[in-house]
Amino acid sequence: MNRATLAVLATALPAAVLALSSPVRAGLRAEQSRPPLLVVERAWSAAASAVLGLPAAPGGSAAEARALHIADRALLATLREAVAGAPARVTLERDGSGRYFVATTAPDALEEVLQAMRRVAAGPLPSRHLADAVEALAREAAFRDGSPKSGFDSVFAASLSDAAAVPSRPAPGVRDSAWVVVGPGPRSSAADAGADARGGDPPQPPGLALLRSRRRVAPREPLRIEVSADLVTTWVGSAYHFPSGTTFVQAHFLRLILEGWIESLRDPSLYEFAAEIDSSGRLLVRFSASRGSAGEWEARLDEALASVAAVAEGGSVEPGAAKPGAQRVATLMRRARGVWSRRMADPGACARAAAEALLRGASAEEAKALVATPPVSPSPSSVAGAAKGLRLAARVLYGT
Amino acid sequence: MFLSTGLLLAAGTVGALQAGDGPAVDLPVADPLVPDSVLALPRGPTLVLERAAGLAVAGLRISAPVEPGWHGVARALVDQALERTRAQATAIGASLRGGVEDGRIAYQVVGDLRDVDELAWIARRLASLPADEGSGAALAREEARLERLAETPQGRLVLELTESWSKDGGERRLPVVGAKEVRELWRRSHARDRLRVFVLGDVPVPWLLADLSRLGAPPLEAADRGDRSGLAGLAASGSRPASSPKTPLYAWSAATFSFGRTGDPVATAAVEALRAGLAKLAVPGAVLRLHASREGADGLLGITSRAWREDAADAALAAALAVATEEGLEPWWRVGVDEARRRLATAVGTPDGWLALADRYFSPDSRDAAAWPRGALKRLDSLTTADLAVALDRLGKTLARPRIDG
Repeated sequence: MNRATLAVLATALPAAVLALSSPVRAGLRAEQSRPPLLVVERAWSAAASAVLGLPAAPGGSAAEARALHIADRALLATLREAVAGAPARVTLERDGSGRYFVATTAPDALEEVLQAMRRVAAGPLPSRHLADAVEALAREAAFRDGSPKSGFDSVFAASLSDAAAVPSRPAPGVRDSAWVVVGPGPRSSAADAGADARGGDPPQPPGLALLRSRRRVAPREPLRIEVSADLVTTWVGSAYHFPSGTTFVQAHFLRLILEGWIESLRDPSLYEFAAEIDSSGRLLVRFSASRGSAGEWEARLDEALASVAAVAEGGSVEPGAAKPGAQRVATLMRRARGVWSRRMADPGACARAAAEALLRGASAEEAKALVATPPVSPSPSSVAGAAKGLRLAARVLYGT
Repeated sequence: MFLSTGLLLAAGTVGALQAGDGPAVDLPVADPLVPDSVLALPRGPTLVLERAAGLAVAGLRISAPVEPGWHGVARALVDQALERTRAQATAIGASLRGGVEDGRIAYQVVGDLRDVDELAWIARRLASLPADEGSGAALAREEARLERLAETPQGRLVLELTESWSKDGGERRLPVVGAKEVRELWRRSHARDRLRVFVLGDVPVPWLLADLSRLGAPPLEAADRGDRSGLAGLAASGSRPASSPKTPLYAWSAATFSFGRTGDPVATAAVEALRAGLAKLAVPGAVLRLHASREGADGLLGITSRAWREDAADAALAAALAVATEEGLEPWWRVGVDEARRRLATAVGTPDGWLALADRYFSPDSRDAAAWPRGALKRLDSLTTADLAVALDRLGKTLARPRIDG
């Protein structure tokens, strides 16, 4: 075992063991030995998925973050081992909204896979998987630690804590874990669902407010941090608060519109662009660009959000509307609708979206409505309204 | 309450996992791994339909046969087709894919069901006559791709696997593809009666017949049908010497072979078993890598070995080939079968995966129990170590040791 591995072990392993007992196991035990399971039936589905959703890593020390990373890797390895005999694939997806263990399998193996996942989640993890996870993290750390990207991530994460202004304690109703399965349901409902899917008015999205049960965020001056460094790349991170009452679907459609807008402007000076909605209900936008062009991309990001917001004041967003910005939003809304529908057609992604809604405090009915067929589609004006009420909380420029 | 769910799940529903809702009254569930119907239109394409009621997206796939030796031309044809449709697909958030796989040219588009008319329009444009405009860029990209591959030993192995270069005496030559060849390939391979069209989604058949039955090129005339001289003549129309410099630092050794047709369950399991065996093989001082090509109807595999000295590279390759024997593969056979089942069962779960796998396991008869993804999955379930002999026999007949070190 090399020195880097030992260092990671020394700082992270005790915390990893704690992380394994809480909140995952504590949450599961608190909900009795059999936590609630949300079942989403699909009239047609060639595969089935089971998802265990866990809350996002809370902002804390680097050692805590590593501990959670180790715990997740060990849990993933144990889950894979537990379903090795079944035709199933288990993956781990982590982002600011949560950590999702997604198993996709043949429908007739779903019960076996789900039982195996529940057994693993409720029991102790083998120490060999913990040790392997520590080794893997140490190998990665040797490459990553000290890199400019890691520096940016640390500063941006710290800025989010400073600008948080949202309670760090979970609100009532917010869950410690979420279990969802998606798979084929009775064919009897198929014809009705199919008939609805082709025409008629788009279904109204469920009213799951993104920041439900949280305290209102007091307006503050946006935090701006510039870190000088002699780098050829500049990383920029921005965090925005949504207006109260913004729904999960409106927030995600705004994210998709923003991605489409920036994608349409992409040139070789933009290296990466990503947007997400974190567990506190904030829009987080990160991009990296060549050093000389970062300011230009920062301005383009602001302009894109301002243009979408302007639509809310101008009224119509139908194709052919007078304002060029409105036409563009209408076009990007259609793109967003297609991307969302394709995502919901994948049982793993669908189960993940339902788990995310549950972790945000949605009821089972709300989470089901979110991933229903035909897919939800918010009105363009409501998405523009969400953009209009966005408030920049923090912006970090790393490598100016 | 967590119910025992075996009975209802065997009927193909997850409703039984729901606690406390009472028993569901289910109608029989059609198997989603077998399409609802296959229609061969007179002088038109073969339509494969899976209604997938309730699915909120629609997917269309068009595939056309391509003969060996024409894969480079086919890649340029696909490149052009994707370029001319990409903006339309992006505008509606649809996924767009194309390539040469399983001995066929294939395009597919998946998007929101409410955009089905646009999806059909994109599909028609994908299979339409390639215009002269834009062909130069696609041909230049293909030419550059081949030249880049010829520069490195591993790239040369890919050229071997994809049959992308020819050997004239001792000299290796890359094909020179022109717009004329691309149009001729389109005319022959995209003849309407040679096309397969896969439709996944709740799309009415009359709509299909109106929108998709006039795809591609007119059917070939009888006199043209058996005549391959046109293609053969065009194939010899141009080539250029390949620059394949020797690498100064390493010695390389390579082998190519096939376990059978792409997608064949026995061959697929053998590939996965070999992959697992090679991952655990220790070859000090050498680096082994397994390459796979699915472009042709036969799945081709290649192993490269890199070392400081030639004898070390050869020894490592020999050790790798020893894994590709009955003795070497038997310990990994179960792992290979499980991985092949896992890949198939999970890939078929997305619309894109369903379309690709329905094409791979196509049969003119929708009731053919040995065909379609369901037939492949059943075959995988029944494999025993005795089946390994078939794959190894094929390996013995196809094993070659190409020189890739310049």
